[in-house]
Amino acid sequence: MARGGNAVSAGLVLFSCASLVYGMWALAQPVELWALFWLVSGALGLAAASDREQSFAAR
Amino acid sequence: MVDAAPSAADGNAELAAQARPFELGGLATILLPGIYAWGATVAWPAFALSGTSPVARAAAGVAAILLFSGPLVARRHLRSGRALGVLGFVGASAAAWGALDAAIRPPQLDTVRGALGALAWGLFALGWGTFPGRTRLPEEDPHAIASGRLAPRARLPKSISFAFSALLAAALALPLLAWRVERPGVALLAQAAALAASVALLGVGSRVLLSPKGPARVKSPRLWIVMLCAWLLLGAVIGLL
Repeated sequence: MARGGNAVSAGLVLFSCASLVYGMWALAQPVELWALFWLVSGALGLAAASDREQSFAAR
Repeated sequence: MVDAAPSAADGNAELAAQARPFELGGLATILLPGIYAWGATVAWPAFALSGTSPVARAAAGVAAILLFSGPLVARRHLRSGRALGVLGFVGASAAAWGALDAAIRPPQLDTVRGALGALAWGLFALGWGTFPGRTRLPEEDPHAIASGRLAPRARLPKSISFAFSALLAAALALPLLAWRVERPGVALLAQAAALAASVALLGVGSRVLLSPKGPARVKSPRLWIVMLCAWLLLGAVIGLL
């Protein structure tokens, strides 16, 4: 991530990718609660990464 | 001057020779996905299924004519061509779907064909979005600099290209995974969530990957990270109980 700014933001996007894909896959299974948990986790991860990028861009 | 005339003519001929495939490529970005979308989602139910109404078949035929005539007309009259190729084609397709009625209810639909058809409709829209720019050679622009290719100021490292490909794959995987959800209600939620997540993932991910490097140590906002940690902790506690 030489140009990618920040390893924390990249890690958050990677985490969000994994949790969103897993959550969407799990949504087709009978128990949906954990699927929703991972989808919300992915959304929170993306919000955190976006917030960090916006704060860097504003500087 | 005597020498310049043949070289200018040669240059024009060369430019015209280059323009032809470029123009065909621009038309193909509309016609290829359009033909697939028409074939998979309009022609197949209208012509392949038995007992469909003649109105549906006529509307499907009109849609095909408009699909081809739109880009051809748009080369000279952009606005009329767009009206025919986009509004006319979509309108005639919608008329065909309306006349098909029961033949395109969910139990009769093939999920894979429907998904690929939807993708083709999206590519058709993108093809019209770049028309007519894609059909004209950039060298024909009067402001074009014809002195060879300009060297890029910087190149993206391969790791960024690789990471962006992975990001794109994840963004495409989400709507495809949403098709696995079959329960009514939950399926709609899955489609909406997948679409929103794909758009957000591509937006935030490409910003993170491509934005210039920020200061090494800055005080960054922590609200969302704290909320994420609290959420994960809650999940871990519930999982252990």
